[in-house]
Amino acid sequence: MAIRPYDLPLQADGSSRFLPWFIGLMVYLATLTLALSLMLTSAIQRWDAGLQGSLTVQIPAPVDGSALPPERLAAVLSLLQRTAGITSVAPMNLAAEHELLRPWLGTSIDDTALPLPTLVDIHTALGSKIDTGKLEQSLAAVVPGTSVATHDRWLGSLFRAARLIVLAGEFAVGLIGAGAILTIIFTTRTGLLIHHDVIELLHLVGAQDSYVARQFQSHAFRQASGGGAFGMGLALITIVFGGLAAAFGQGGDEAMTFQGFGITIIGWCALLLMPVAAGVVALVTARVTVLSILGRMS
Amino acid sequence: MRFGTGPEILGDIDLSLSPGGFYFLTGPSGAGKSTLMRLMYLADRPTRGRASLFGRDISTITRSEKPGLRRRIGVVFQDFRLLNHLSTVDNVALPLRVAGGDDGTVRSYAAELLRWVGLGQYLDVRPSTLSGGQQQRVAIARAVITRPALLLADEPTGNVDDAIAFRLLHLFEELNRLGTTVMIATHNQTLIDQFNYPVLHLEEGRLSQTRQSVDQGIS
Repeated sequence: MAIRPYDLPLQADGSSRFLPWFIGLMVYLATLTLALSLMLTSAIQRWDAGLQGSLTVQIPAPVDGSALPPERLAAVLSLLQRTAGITSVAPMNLAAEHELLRPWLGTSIDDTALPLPTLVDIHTALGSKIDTGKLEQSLAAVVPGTSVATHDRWLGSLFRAARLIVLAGEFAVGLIGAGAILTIIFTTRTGLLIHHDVIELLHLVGAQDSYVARQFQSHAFRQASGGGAFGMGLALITIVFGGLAAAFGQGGDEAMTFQGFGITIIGWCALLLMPVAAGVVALVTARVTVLSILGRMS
Repeated sequence: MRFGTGPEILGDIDLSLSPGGFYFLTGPSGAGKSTLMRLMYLADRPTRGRASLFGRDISTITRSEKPGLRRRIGVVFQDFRLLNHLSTVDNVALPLRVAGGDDGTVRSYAAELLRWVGLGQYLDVRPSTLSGGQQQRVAIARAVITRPALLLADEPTGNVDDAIAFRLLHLFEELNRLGTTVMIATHNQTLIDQFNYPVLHLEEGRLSQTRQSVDQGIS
């Protein structure tokens, strides 16, 4: 079967040389932005799941610098175990606390001399609502100065910031899409002007507007999906190399696996479909542009 | 008929072509022959008066109705209007392709027609590499490929020698015998003299008859 030729010489237009590169760049930026948004969303979900139902009780060290008397700790633990909704209570040993501080203080300071508070990790039952204010008051009655940290205060701010970044990313993808649409409208209008004579001839031999639109839309689809595939490929290389660099920087290899990026299978599919999405957007934009302009003619 | 605020190019023309008729249209350059043709192949609308084609008033037809009517009209343009990025066979196949014809069938039919007009060895070349006469034959093949109900040819023999011109006129006659109404705008008096068909003479935008009567008269 013979291949249907283009009746309009759109491939020869100057815009045909520039459009795939432009769309490639747009898809590159959109893919990177989308990937970062997906990674951040996944990270938020992981932090949220990890810290949900978790509290920390902080028992201050005695002012004289001595160790917390065991009976005081036992009293606190007993009170916590009796509190409804608490499922596990685990005091952190002093060595583990020093280990936590090591990255901040370094090895040159003798941190064993520091009067560290005793920390108790608490996990609560799913859906239980513990009044942390009341619990803090009860604990303070047993050991004055004891406080309850809910993580909500600092996590809330962190989540808000992260979600704002995700929203900004989605907005940026939207802007990139709008930029691509405007470019396709511009190149389509230019094509209509350049090929005015050929389009008139097509009409005179009986072509409908939709026939002319098909010429533009299939050309736009090929250009955008081709450029998009290039942009997406480049973006995936950037993501993989970025992930590897981050993994090597941390001395781990978590980022070397797909799961390490924190992007789900659906997320990866969305990224891989970017060139098709770019092609479809270009196709629809070119079609609507051609039909609306030709439709205004007599 | 006038363009913008310019002078009237055609005026007070009362013309009716009988279906299946064969007509020559003559007149000096600038008399309005091409404008009359443009009205007939629906490239322009009349600025006043009434014109109808296949029983439809062309002043009031909608844009979506035009393709259907245009597919019943074959046009040979004075400047050929061939697409130089397509091969000759694809140029000839164009009217059938836009009508949704199958590519393989359309191309073989177009190739057959090109062989008939003596261009069988130029199927896959670009029109720009052909001589003026050859391009004209490609344009004629494109105009007749749909076996149109109305064939309008603007100087279709202007770039060919007499032998080819007569052969082309015989092709038009053959189409005419199959029921196509033919109107040929030409300056070629020898051709007009050789074929005994009604002659419409256009001068300064006014139409007159110089040979034989046209069915419903010219006034």
